[in-house]
Amino acid sequence: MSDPLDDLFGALADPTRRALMVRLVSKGPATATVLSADFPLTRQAVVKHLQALEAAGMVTPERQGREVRFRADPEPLAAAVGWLLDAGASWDRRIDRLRGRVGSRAGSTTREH
Amino acid sequence: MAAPSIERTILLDDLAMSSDELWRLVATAEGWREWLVDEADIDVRDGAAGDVVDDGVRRAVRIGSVLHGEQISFVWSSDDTDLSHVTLRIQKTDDGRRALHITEVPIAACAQCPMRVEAVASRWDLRECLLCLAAHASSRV
Repeated sequence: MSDPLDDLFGALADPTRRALMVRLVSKGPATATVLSADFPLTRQAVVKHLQALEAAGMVTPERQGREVRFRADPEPLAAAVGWLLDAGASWDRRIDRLRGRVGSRAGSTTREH
Repeated sequence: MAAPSIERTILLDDLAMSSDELWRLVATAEGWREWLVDEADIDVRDGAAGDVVDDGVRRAVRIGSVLHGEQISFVWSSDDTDLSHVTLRIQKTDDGRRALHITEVPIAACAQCPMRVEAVASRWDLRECLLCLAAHASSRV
C-alpha cells in the first residue's frame, strides 16, 4: 500500500528537493522557469522534482495565465514531525514506567539506547 | 530518508526478572496495565480485538501476531484516522543480554481494505479495518 508518510519522506530524501522546498518557503511561490534560473538545473529537471513534491503533498501548483506557480505547503511535514514528537514522548513515558516496574521488584535497571 | 518511525531498545539486566515475567509484561493485558497503558481490555492473542486507554485516550487495538516468548505486534488507533503498527520484541544482544525492542510506525488506510478508515462509522467497523491493517502491516514492517 502507498503510505503518505513514505511518499513524504521519500520525496524529501533528495537534497535538491529539500533545497527547492527551502526556496519556495523562504521566497514564496515560483514557476519552474524561475526556479531553474536559481538552481543549476534544467526546467525539465525542476518540473520533475516539483512533481515528486506535489505527489507528496508538499507543493501545490497554481495556474496564473499561461504559467504555473508552485506554492510550498509544509503542513504534511509538520504533521509528520508532530507525530514523531508525540509518539516518541509517549514511549519514553512508558519506558520510564517499565523501568520503575522492573526496578521496584527486581532491584535492577534498564537502559535505553 | 526512511519513513518516520519510533524505535527504542531497552537493555534488561539478565537477572532483572524471569523470562515468564517479562513476557507477562509484554503480552498480557495485566502486564500492559503496569507500564504500557492506563487500562487494557483485550485478550492478547492472534487476531484479538479490544480497547486500551493510553494517556487518557481510548484506543481500539487489534493484535496482529503473537510469537510466544519473542514478539507481539498490534495495530492501534487513537481516533479513526491515526493508525500505527507497534512491535514489541524480546531479543538477545551481542553480549548475551536481553533487550526489549520497540517500534511504532504510522500507517495509512490499507488500499486493499474495502472501507477507508476516514469513512468508518462505528468502532466495530474500525476493528474490522484494523484487522486488515494488522495483517498487511505485519508483512510490511
